[in-house]
Amino acid sequence: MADEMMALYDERMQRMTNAVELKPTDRVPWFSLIDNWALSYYGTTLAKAKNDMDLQYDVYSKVYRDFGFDASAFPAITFPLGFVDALGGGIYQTDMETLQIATGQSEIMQAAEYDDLLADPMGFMINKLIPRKLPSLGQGSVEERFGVLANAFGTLMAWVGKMGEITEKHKTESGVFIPNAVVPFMPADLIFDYLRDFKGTLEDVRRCPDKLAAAAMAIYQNINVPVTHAMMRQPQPDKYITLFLHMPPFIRPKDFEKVYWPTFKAFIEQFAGLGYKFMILFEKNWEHLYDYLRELPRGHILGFFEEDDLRKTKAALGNVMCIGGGIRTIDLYLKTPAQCVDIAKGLIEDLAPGGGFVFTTDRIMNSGTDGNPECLKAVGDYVREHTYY
Amino acid sequence: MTEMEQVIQLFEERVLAQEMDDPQQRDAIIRMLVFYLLSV
Repeated sequence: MADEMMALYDERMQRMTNAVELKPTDRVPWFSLIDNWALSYYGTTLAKAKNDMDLQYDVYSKVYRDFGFDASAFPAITFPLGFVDALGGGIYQTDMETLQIATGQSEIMQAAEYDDLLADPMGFMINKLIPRKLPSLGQGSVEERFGVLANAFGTLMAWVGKMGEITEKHKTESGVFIPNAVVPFMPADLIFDYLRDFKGTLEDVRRCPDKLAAAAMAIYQNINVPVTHAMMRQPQPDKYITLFLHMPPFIRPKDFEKVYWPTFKAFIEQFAGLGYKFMILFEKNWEHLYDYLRELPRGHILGFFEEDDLRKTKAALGNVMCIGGGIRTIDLYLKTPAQCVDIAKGLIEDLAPGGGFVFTTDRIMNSGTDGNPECLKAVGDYVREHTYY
Repeated sequence: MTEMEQVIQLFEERVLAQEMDDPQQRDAIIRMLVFYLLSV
């Protein structure tokens, strides 16, 4: 049994590797972007599972076994919620069906403070932003704060270790390839999501783009490069750097070129040049930015596209990166299994020729309404049985 | 040295130094921790 699973895993990993490297492969890979949807499918809740990683393993492995995925983005719930609790809470809401970031609570820095960040990036983050964001580290004696930090770090490291164990267990027991290894935030997205919030960052794009761009470069140099190297010391064939890109769909190309592209491009080129691969979720619509993406290194990226017309995406970027995408979750929820298979068939006829295509859903499946299991099963069976080259 | 810098120094001495001899590695872990603290 173990040998069979390892053979299946190797076969699936090779299928994915060929697709990402834009080489011929045996068939279209069937990829899971299922996250919290797995909880409702299993019959449990986020509240019950968030602190029980053994339950999380059971929840996600049921999805892998029942739908026969070749590969997946997520081994379990995607954020260390115990770490958040150990710090006294953060901006994540866990009392809902799915893990959500509370809106309007991420502005912990003012536009006037860019100069302080640029003068001493690490000092500003440690002395100003962290105490401001986390009262548990901003109040009390040095010893008390050290205690909070050490306890939270222990929780974080335990979570990292458990995620590694779970990923390995999915490999040996379900033969599923989960390359998600390290998840850095691109610098401008760190500002967008956690320092200046949506509204503040978009104001900065208009009012002080040079400072925003300089801050992104400072974060790139002080956080992104050293942390990514520390968390993944060497490129490995079964481990990808995973990026969720948030800000670009909301800005014009000329603004993207100034505030986002320099650090994003530098990061990809630096690590691709060392042999690393990437799994990138291009959230929302990126069609206005394809001229930039064409410059990225060839054969290192699996790019998932949410709202783009995949036929345009494949034509524009298929020579650069492997295109991931496919059936809309709304179709998986509202249409019949036969209708879903017809949609999948049409997409595959247009997108599979020449390789470099991975079939999945158009977006991460979180809510129970992101797909009817019967439709997902029908589509998965079709992809696995009818897409051999 | 600020209070937060003292907290970080204690963390490096009492936690990281027990596991890691390489100061560069300890520095990278502190940077990783800063990222995680900002992203909760």
